[in-house]
Amino acid sequence: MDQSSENALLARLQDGDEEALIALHTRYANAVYAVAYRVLGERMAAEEVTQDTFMRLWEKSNTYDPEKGRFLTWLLTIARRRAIDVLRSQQRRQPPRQETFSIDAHPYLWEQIPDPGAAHDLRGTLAAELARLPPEQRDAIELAYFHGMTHSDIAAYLQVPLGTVKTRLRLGMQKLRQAWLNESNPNTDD
Amino acid sequence: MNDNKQALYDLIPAYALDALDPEERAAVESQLDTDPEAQRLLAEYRQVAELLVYTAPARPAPPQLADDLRRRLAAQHPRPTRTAAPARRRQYRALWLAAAVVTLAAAAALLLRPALMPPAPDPAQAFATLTASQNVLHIPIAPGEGQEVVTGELVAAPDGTLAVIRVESLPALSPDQTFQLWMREADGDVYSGGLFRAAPGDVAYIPVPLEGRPLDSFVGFGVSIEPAGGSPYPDRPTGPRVFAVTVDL
Repeated sequence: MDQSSENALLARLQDGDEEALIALHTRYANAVYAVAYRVLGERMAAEEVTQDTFMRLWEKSNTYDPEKGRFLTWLLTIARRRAIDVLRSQQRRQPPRQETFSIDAHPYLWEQIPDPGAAHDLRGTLAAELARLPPEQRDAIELAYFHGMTHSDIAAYLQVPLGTVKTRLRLGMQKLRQAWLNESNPNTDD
Repeated sequence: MNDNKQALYDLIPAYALDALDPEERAAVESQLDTDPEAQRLLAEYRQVAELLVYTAPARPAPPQLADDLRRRLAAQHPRPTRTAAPARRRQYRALWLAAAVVTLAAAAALLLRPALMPPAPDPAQAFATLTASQNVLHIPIAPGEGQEVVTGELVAAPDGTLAVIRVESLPALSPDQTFQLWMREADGDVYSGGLFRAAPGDVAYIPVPLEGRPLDSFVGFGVSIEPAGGSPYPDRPTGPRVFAVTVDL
């Protein structure tokens, strides 16, 4: 989908065209689901977050401002935040029943989603840089970003001193920022 | 730059990730109110943070979600009102068209539902069906360290249509814990197969989501004890292993 067709779909969506929402769902459900699954690690909850995200898009599409960023990034950010909310509610919740299985065994058709790691792509650069980080720095960033943990939460979870967590997260993010700056502007060396 | 200011600047990356505790968050926000350099730095870190969302491993959404979305839309009428006056006529036309499409789609979905979305088989029933069939594989589980009382087996159709683990004597979980199933692919990749709870002492039947792939595309499965909500990592457990199943065909 090129930018003009995406813009056209968004315009139709804001006019209340359900088929535009379905078209965007067809295009982006895999990416939204991948983010929800990354946070929740569980299929049924990830499905629910995916659908919630698109229903929120349906209700709030007029809050998207193209000048503030790419549509897909905005959509995935909604999905991530919603998934973290669900994760937090799961962590607060007592087990509801004696036995609750949340897995289902339907065989799904596998499809390919657009590769965000394409060459010459900032997203790909960042993913590669994240993979290159020392594991402890990468873990700190991922626990904060995909699990909504604060410094204190991470320190308690990993059972390491708070200052260690702060350092790991800061150093990791500094490296990601430098990689992003280098890719955005090759002459930058901050 | 004085030490206090530098300390606040050092917190900006975590602020961009929303990882600060309330007191530090307030201190950073106070600095941001009056410091353009801090604002510039935050803007950069926020751009980095936004892009992190693309590092989630690819995972295809189940195909029935599109039909489910149509049903949700149909159930939600009247749909949200729009404010753009020039679009109103087009909106009404789109409403009629969309309503017709949704009605037809919903009717079609109802008619096709049995074919598209078979009811999820009860795991115990699926296990019984499998064990009564010929040409199924039986693989005993290997209990984890300290979990020697756990027994059971995986029964699977080799073509990947169905696989269920029957397990007895799972350990008791605290309220803030869950079991997590892990899938290890033949190429070494590991991912979550889902979360579940089971009452201690009961026989549990765990459906293994093979996604229609043949059993030998996996080298094994395992179950660990994780915090509620599951392991924070997409590709590795953090808690003790309860049992494992090794696929060696």
